[in-house]
Amino acid sequence: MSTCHEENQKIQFTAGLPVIALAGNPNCGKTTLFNLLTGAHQHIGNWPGVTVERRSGNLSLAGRKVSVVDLPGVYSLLGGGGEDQTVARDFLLDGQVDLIVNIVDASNLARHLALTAELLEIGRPMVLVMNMVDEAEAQGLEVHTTELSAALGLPVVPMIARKGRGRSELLGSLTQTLKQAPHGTPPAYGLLIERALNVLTILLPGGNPARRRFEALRLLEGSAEPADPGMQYALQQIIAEVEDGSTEIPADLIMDRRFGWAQEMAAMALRRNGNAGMRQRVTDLLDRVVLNDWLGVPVFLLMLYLVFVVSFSGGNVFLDFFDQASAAILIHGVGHVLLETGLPTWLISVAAGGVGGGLNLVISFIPPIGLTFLFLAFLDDSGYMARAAYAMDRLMRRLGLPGSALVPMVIGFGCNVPAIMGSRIIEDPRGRILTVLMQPFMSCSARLTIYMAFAVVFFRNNGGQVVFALYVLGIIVALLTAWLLGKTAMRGEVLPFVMELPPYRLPSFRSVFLQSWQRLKVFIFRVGRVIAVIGVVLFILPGIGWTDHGLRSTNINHSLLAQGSRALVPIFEPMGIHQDNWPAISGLVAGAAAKEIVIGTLNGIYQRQNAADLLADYRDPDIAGQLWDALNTIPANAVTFITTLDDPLGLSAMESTFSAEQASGAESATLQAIAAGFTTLSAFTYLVFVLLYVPCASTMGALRREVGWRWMIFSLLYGTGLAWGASTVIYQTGTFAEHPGSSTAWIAGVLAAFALLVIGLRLYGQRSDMLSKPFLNRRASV
Amino acid sequence: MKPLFAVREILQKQGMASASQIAAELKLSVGLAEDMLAYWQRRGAAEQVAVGTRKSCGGCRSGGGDRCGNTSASFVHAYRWCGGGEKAVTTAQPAVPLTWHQP
Repeated sequence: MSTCHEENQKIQFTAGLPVIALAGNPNCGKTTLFNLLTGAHQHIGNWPGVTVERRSGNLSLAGRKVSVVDLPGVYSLLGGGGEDQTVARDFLLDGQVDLIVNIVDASNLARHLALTAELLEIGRPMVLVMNMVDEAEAQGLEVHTTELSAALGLPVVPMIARKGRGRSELLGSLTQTLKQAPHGTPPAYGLLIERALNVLTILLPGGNPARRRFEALRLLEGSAEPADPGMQYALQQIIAEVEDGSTEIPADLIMDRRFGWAQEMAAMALRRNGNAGMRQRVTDLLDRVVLNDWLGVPVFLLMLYLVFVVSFSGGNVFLDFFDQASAAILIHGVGHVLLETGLPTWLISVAAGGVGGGLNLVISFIPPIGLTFLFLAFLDDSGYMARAAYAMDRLMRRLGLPGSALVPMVIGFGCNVPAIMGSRIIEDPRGRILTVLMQPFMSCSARLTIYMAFAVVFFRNNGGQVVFALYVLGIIVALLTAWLLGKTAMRGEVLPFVMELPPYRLPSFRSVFLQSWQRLKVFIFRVGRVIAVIGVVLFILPGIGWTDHGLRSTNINHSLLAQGSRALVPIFEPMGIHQDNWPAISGLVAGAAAKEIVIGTLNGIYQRQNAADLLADYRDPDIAGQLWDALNTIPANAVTFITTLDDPLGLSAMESTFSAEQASGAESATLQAIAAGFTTLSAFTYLVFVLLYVPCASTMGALRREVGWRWMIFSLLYGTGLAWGASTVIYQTGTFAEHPGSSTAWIAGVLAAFALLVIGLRLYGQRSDMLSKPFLNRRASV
Repeated sequence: MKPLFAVREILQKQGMASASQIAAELKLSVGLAEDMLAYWQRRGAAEQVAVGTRKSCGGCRSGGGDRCGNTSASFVHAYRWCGGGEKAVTTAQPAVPLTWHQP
């Protein structure tokens, strides 16, 4: 560091009045300060040769008149900006300036101090005005000018120029400075640069060491040209020496130090305090955890876990009430009324059992799904979801996906349709298609009902792990699908994702409630419509069948549903479904329309198989009693919720068949029939198939809208093929000892088919690349 | 801290980032981050790009599908690393003849 700046000296005034130049970044309050200092004593004209306005005025300091010049705002003395900034720069560097008043915005101090660093390097006398301290204080910042003044070697005056506060302190400081001018302490640039500056300062002509140092800096930064070839050669040698000792070029080293210095000075002058400061500290602390390379992903998984705990366990508090109350009204109540009116039996069955039963199923899901939407809206509004996407970006990018793909995936746990719609947030078409194609593998809440029914029958002791494994398997398959397609059919560059991180805030209850209500409303009407229609169909199909006399009313075991399902059984036999379990196939066929009705379908079929009189429940229903019973489930379930917070799916509490029925919406006959139709292994493979095959008709519709017919058909075939292949491999592996020959053949066949798929996708990708290259070349040549 | 090089590192690592992302990551003011990005831009090592984002009303996420028309496009100014921000690149600053007013 040169010692030339350490000496204070008397100002040698330029000819005429001493000139004070007001310099600073645009919008730092220069003109306000100018008006405050000069009042009515102003002259407005143009700077010579340009149309930039020149404002100057007079000020009396301790009886002595001085001229004040309001310079246009300037960001840097090194260049950039328009004509007005050039004027300001030229005047500060070459004009007749006796004292610089550098105005900085205290609420954006670090940025404004970057110019201060450059002004200090000029070596002219200077006073720093820290303007808008009220705005800094409103941000929870405490202003400490004494420390900053000592570090800069300059008077520092805190001000609120628009309110006139700090004027007298500034006038006192200016008077003092004009008598005894401090030059301030510019940033030190480190050994390499300082050595280069010292050599250049010696080589440059001129008397003032501070100004020669500034010229040397400009030469090193490349913002000035050497005056002669000799200096050019010397500069090249000096730059080469700096570059030998560093991996960076001198200009970058200087700028880096200048920015670092500005940041350090700002941190010294402003400290956090008060409520706003506490808020910022909390934000910083939270960000340090949720954006951390190692903690970000686990924290996100923990947040998801909490959403599950509150949504499913909390939803279960009201699930029984919704289920039983809606069953009492829509099934038994409607059935009873229709029976009393004397309508045909089949119509009563369709209306009460079909439509009413379907609606009952949808209404049962309202509590957990509503709570899921509520908590996702809460996380979204709080500013966390954006950070979760940011934290997941690294992992997702390795798989060829942008981090923002996480948001639709999370929504997919609720329902795949909004997840596919939510993929619109991804701008990159390749990333968006990959994200959309992942969504069908995310376990939606409708699949959960199937998992739960099977879990309580077959996996009573480890149901939680089985359901969690299915969720994780869905995520893994989704990510591997994106990775596979990204490496084969959809090769391309992963575009980085940009997301503004909103500030943390406490979400407003009204906003969160309205947002989740809108989502829930759409879910209820969309799903309700589908289920009502399919409910009708499923009540008709089991009642009619092909007979020797054509299409006639028949027993369910000879119905169209049974005939069609039995025809499909051979396809599913390798994954453990046998002829006598044809209702399982009916469930899958119905599930292709909507997963919510798989258990409902099984329910309907098993009931018909076992019930002698379908109208028995409608003859004398005790609706008031049923509603009272429904109401009584709320406090009982609330106690269960509190005691099972560590088991979000409540599976460990399902010790009885009764509680299993409540959780799955299935009646005991259904559970008994499921238990009879499957083995533990075939039940698991059935669940894997349910997880991976076509999610529902609505999801397919959403896929077609978002990525077109071709990708929709691909998704349908790929998902179903993968579901069959995975289920078959699992089943054949599990029963390998019983029939090693056929198991080996099945497993080898599945793996070969998968290999063929990969080859096909790769060829498709290569063909697409070849087709797109001429296009790209044409674009490049344009 | 070496903030200018830290900004370069983030851009090189992530390919693209906005000023506020960088500011949050380096605990800097957004203004200072913008100035450093502008420096790399002047050096020809980074370029500013407008990245489109869609602000959702939430309806789309709820399965509203085609019916939701309550979305609006907005742009985030991001910076993309173009490479070459190391030694060999010449500065993009216009060279100014070295003159000095001697009082």
